[in-house]
Amino acid sequence: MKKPRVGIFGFTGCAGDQLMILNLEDELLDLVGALDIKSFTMASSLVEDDEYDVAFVEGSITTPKQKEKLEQIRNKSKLLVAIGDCAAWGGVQASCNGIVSVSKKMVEVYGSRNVWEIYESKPLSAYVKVDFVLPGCPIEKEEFLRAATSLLHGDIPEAVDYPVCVECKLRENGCVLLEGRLCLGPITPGGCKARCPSLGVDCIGCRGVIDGESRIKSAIEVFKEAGFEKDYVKKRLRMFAANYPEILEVK
Amino acid sequence: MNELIPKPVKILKVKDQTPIEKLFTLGVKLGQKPGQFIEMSIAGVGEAPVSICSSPTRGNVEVCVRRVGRVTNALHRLGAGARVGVRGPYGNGFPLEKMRGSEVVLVAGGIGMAPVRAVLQYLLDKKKEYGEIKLLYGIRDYSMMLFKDEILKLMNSKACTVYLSYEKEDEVCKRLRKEYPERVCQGVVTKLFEMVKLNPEAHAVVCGPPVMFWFVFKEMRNRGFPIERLYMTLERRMKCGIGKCKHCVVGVGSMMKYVCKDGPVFSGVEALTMRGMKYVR
Amino acid sequence: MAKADLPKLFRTLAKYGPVVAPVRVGENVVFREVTSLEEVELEYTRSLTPPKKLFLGPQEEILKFDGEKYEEVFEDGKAVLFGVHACDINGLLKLDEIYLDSPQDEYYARRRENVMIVGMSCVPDERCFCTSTGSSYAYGGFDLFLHDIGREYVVRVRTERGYEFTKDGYFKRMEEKDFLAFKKAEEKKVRSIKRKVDLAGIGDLIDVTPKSLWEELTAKCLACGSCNLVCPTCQCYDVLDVLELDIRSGSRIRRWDSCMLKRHALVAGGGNFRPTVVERTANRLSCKVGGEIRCVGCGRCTVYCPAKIDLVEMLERIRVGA
Ligand SMILES: Cc1cc2nc3c(=O)[nH]c(=O)nc-3n(C[C@H](O)[C@H](O)[C@H](O)COP(=O)(O)OP(=O)(O)OC[C@H]3O[C@@H](n4cnc5c(N)ncnc54)[C@H](O)[C@@H]3O)c2cc1C
Ligand code: SF4
Ligand code: SF4
Ligand code: SF4
Ligand code: SF4
Ligand code: FES
Repeated sequence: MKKPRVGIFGFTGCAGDQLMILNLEDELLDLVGALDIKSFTMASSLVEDDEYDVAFVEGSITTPKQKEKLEQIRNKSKLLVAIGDCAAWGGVQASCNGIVSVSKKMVEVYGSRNVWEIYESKPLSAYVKVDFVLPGCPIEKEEFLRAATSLLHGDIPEAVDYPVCVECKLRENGCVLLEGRLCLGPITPGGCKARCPSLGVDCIGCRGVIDGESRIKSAIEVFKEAGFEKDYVKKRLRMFAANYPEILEVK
Repeated sequence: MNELIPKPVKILKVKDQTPIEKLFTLGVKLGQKPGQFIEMSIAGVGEAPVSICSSPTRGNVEVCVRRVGRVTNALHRLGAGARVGVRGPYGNGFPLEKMRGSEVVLVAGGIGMAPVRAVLQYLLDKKKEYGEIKLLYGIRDYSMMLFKDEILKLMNSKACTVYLSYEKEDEVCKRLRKEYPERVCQGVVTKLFEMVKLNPEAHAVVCGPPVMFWFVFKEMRNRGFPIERLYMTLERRMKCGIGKCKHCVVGVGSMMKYVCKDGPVFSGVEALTMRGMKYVR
Repeated sequence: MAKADLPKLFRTLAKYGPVVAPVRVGENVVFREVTSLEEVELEYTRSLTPPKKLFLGPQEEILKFDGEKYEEVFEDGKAVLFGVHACDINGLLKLDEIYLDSPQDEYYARRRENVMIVGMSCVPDERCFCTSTGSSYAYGGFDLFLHDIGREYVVRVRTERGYEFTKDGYFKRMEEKDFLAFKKAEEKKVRSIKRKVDLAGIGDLIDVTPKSLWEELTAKCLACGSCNLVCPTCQCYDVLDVLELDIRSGSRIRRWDSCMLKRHALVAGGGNFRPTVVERTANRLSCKVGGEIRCVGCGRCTVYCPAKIDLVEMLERIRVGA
């Protein structure tokens, strides 16, 4: 059997997810034998006629050039997997989307309006078809390995579509929201084994939201009743999932 | 015995049915009742409930599977000689004893033809014990017809009367309509009731997508068919198949049932009195 | 038996197998393996997750596979479940009706057989309503039950296995005064449970509750599943396969599931039979109190709901119809 070709690409982001993958060496050793992995930290070095069975793509898209590259990757790959919050939801750099315009940001950062053309930070799915999403900032090592084995077996992995609260209960954590902290667990997909609440701190929502399922309005109501300021709630919601329409709308 | 452990079973034959459906002949006989289902397992992917589409009178178990998700896609990748895990048969099956001596009307749409085929084969093999058999089958177009050879042969036979409706006309459908104008028409399956004389003494079996079921149900009731003589199958998410995991539960309030254990076959009366059965997309 | 002799009983029990008992962790009480009585929280109200976890694990392997070869995973699971309250014992009896019904669940059945249960008087709070669900007292479903009557425990023996542990000299025959003390303690407990809910015919009221009321009742619901995951009578589980890196071996896992979650009624192609919290809550309540009463009044679903949605309040409003 021909070794499946896997490409790992990065756009605007911290490359933390790629690091996470490359740091998996011990576990990957088993996999690597079965794979032909190519990594491109700065997607620019993409070789034109390469083709991939699976492309893991990290980072959000912020320039026309990146968009073009992404489309190229899509065309050359059978499956495209978005990894990390930036690729999945647009990342922290999207947290001001819809509030502060890109040109204003440019003025603030570079002192001039048109240094180069730049987009609001958007998830990959805004530009190309994404077959599977591995969310998180950074992604979970175990989840990545599990997804990789599924893909190698020929299946699209099963996405986590239940909230962090479930994992909290499975781990018998007390609830930090009931204990008075603003926990985003109820609207954030699990998969991290309730990493933060298990340490007694609130979930900051680094895995985004559950598309079409998270009860944003109810959560805002619950947070309000728990005594949290409106602006604080808004800021917290926007941190990792500002591009989610229901969150983008929050006044 | 541990009911949760599947038995490895060899796939003997795979036959394409439509672009998205395949028929698998399995190296196992289960003595099932038509209408029962098995849990099919692909290690590392998961399990999925599928109706047995062959009659116990025909020997090996056959299943016809539509490719829709993880398990079904993985199954479609397998060919003859490969192994799958099987548990079952589960479920109540159709009350064929009750139907003995009477005419049977089978109504099928889409993948619903799979369980109906099991009943049909059974009735054909026990022809003497039952009255007339009518099959009303609704398809999108010829490419989506299941068991093509068998259906075409039956259209031409006296053993049973086949009525066929199709939504999109193609060459084959057109030919069939010309050949059997009194039994083939364009439209949804309920249109066939304009061509069939319903005998209120008959029994009916209805399998198809949920929307289709309610249309057929209404149509038959309006035409004076007693709904207590009508049987249908329900499809729900299933994980265990044996009344434990409670995913398949239907009904709200004091009337709750397990589709896997109390069903998947329910009578028209049960379907009518159970609440919360609406299918939402 | 005198309370002072409890450590002796604990030590003999520990000979049967590892002891799992309520332990305080931060603000909550959870069932954990303990090695000494000091670790045990003898007076507690309710544990975060119910002791059903010993019989139906939050997350457990049900089989291993290698290619298409399936093998069951068997552990003998001998243990002593110590300090279980009446509501939770009744919860197990409700699960028995499901998991021991034919075909029985082998894993559950074996553990039910191998785990010895020692019940213990409870300390009810204002969220308990077990007198309304008929589960404030355990008639069966345990080996031994320790009723706190002040300085002593009245020990009810329910099985021969339990009897074996009561042969030591510190067990005394009950006298008239013990019976009276027992009666008084039980009455006091029942009186202290102030919360009441009328469940007669509630299933049919659930059935006719208008959507507008459901929407109001569930407006704050986050569809987080906590209410089910802490419930001692929830039976639902989900199943998933985990593949090893060799891409051929692995295990099939089952995990507590909740009907408040999206996937519970999702079928292929994206159809969902319970698409919103309205249908899901109607299903949850139907399941708990719609037909046979499957709720044991422990109050967990209310106490641990991040949105503070109160089951009893919901049921009261359903009865009123507004
Ligand atoms: C009694 C019964 C008989 C059936 N008979 C047939 C048949 O003869 N042919 C056929 O093609 N299909 C049949 N189905 C539907 C079939 O079970 C689903 O299409 C299949 O489970 C989808 O699994 P998947 O892993 O490919 O899809 P995914 O969408 O990836 O589903 C993941 C899991 O969800 C559950 N699930 C999803 N959809 C359904 C569903 N519709 N019903 C039950 N569980 C579901 C399964 O546990 C499945 O493993 C039947 C369903 C039931 C309940
Ligand atoms: S701590 Fe957060 S994630 Fe955990 S149950 Fe509470 S709200 Fe949910
Ligand atoms: S429904 Fe709530 S009160 Fe009733 S048993 Fe379950 S958790 Fe306890
Ligand atoms: S259906 Fe809901 S309420 Fe009933 S057992 Fe399952 S999770 Fe619990
Ligand atoms: S615990 Fe509360 S918020 Fe969560 S699903 Fe249950 S009722 Fe809704
Ligand atoms: S499929 Fe598990 S209870 Fe019906």
